[in-house]
Amino acid sequence: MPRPCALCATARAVLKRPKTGQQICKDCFYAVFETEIHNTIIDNALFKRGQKVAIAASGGKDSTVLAHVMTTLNDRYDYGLDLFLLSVDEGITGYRDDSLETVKRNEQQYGIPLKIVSYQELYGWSMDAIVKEVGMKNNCTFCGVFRRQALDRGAVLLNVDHIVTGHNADDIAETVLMNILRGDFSRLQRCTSISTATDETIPRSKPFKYTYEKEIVMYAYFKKLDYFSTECIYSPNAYRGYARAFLKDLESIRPSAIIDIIHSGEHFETPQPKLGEKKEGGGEAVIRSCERCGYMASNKLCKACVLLEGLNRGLPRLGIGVEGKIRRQHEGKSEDIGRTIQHFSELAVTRTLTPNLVTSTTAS
Amino acid sequence: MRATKVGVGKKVLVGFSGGLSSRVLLHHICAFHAVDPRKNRKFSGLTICHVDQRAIVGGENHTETLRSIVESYGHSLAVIPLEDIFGDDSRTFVQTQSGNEDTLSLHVKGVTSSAGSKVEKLQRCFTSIGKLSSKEDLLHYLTMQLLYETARSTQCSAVILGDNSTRVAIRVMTQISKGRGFSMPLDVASESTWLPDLMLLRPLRDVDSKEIALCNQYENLKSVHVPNLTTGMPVKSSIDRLTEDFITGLQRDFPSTVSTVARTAFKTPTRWNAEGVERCALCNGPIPPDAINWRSRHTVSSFSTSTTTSTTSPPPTDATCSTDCGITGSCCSPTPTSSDPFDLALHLCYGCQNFIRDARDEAELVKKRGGEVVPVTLPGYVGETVDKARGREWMRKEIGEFLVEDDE
Repeated sequence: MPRPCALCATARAVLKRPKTGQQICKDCFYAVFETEIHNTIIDNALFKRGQKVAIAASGGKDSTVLAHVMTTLNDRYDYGLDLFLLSVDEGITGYRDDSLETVKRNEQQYGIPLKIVSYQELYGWSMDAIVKEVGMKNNCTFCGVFRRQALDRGAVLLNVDHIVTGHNADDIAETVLMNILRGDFSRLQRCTSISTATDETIPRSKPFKYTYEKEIVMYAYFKKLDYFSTECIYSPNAYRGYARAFLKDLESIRPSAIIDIIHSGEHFETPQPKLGEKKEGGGEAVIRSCERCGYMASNKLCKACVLLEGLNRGLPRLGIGVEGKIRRQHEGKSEDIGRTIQHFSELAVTRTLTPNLVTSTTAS
Repeated sequence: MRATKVGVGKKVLVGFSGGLSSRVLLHHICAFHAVDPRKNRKFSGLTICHVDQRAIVGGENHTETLRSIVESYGHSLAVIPLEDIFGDDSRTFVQTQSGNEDTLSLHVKGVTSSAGSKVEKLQRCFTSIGKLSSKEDLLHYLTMQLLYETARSTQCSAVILGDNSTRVAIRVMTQISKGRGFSMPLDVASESTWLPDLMLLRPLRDVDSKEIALCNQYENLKSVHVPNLTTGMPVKSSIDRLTEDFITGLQRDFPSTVSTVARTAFKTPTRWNAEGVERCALCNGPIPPDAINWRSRHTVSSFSTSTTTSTTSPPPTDATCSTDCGITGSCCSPTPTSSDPFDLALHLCYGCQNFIRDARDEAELVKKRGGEVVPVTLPGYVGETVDKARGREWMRKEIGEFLVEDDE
């Protein structure tokens, strides 16, 4: 006996919704899925009319669906946004080069211009080269720090007002759990906020904050979106794995657990200090600009510059251990810090000098 | 203990389950309270209270053992059976409408009936909730409610609990996973002042379960094994059980887990003490300000409610109402009381709303199997909070036009 859809009661139910357990039809699924994201965007007033928005695209399921949904919603609800795809090429053979092909196909499908920034180009090091230097341990630190900055630099080059990323509800719930387990109190207070914005950087937000990973896969499956699904070859992160496994078990006991965790996490939020402002309680940390590259930093140098200096001087542990200690240990060695990252303020100049930068990459 | 903010000369209640932690607690509280000519006693008296959960959990009868333990310190033990949460003739709340697919609402009506014994009522209450995770929560909150009631009836001004740090860490993770993060600071506080008349103390919250076990051994303390709902069940049978397994497992590999989790929780604030935060009718915790609409915005489960902000449909009432007053329930009576049907969901915190969903899912499952659906049955104390909240709501409406409100 075919079951009717729990929502429209006319069509035949073809799927069981992971978030609620309701048995619904394909069209109703698209409708609720897109409506929830639309609600998230509207409730949080993520965008303003006429803004240029970059979609951080890796070619994986989240960003592929994000690109699709953003184009759909932008048309349907007339957000009036100018969309771009922004990809970071870490330089990981057998992983990123393949997934970038997917992004290039997305560019064709949705007619959104694409910009790729590469580690090689920005820092002079690809991830493959970094792993050769530092080994399999800690390489995610480099990748994470570099990517954060690469995205911001790419956004400046594209001259966009906003970046959206494909972080989904599972990722956020997992981060809440991780921060509790690691005792990272300050991150716990900001990990659930939907967008991060300081005066200095371009705001970033996560429209998929309340969207289940399983539903994203389901959406891609039914919409026949093609994406690249391989784990990063350098990725084993044991401790995060525990949190992930725990979250999956929770979800199997009570499907709403993921969203419940986010609800809990939102109540731990506190307003974050702005640039130059001191933290409440008289803490030392102040957001300032990096002396070398102009990127925002909590110390004299930003993390990327320290890591890069370590790589160039052959001291890859420089940014990972206690910086001062390692610097003292290696006193007297070559002080040549090698190539530095282009200063942030020069980026805008680059943009005006080569106005056809976007189109030239698009053509390739 | 000496430093607690509980006033000198007040009575306190000690929760005593008979397990390892509360056994150590009892030992030390009694030692602290013992007569010593050199110093004054801090508390004027102790009530030692054991809530007997056998009607739900089963297991052996330890009452006599516990009684003899307590008596060896020269105190007497008050044993309260869990079914006492349903008073002899007092009201129970029974579901009036079967749950409805698209909104999380539960219309209940206060009835005064003597049908069925207290144990039967209690068992119906647990059956109707369905899922084990919810039952565990319910068991905890009913037990706590009984401790509060006993404390009030014996004029105690504080309740002392034996939660150890391992228990606290597990609790932090379960509370977060159940969407109860808003009240988490209260669940882990060493001195919680949320309830206006009772302070909650957790003197053992910095001692972990291994230390408790050692303490029991060195002091030669006798304790009993207290089973819970998932004793002997698979790991994935409930959220509490899974979390316990997860935290103890991690603690084995990373010995700092428990203290890290507990310490992080201690210093994480939420806005539970902001003005206008209401008390949940079921768990007595604070209701987060967005409890009602948050879920429907982020989990669109029906098209009709996705656009409106108020998801409550007025329950059927006999009283005809001439003015559209917007109060759910019967508005024509001068003060609405909980004997009229009302939507309980409005008076529950986000975490307790999960009960409603679990009960609804259970009812559907039973219906599909062709069984008889047990309507949700809840004890009478639920009504007190609701009455108070609705009374205030009504008062506010009455004087509404005379209140000066800021535009912001």
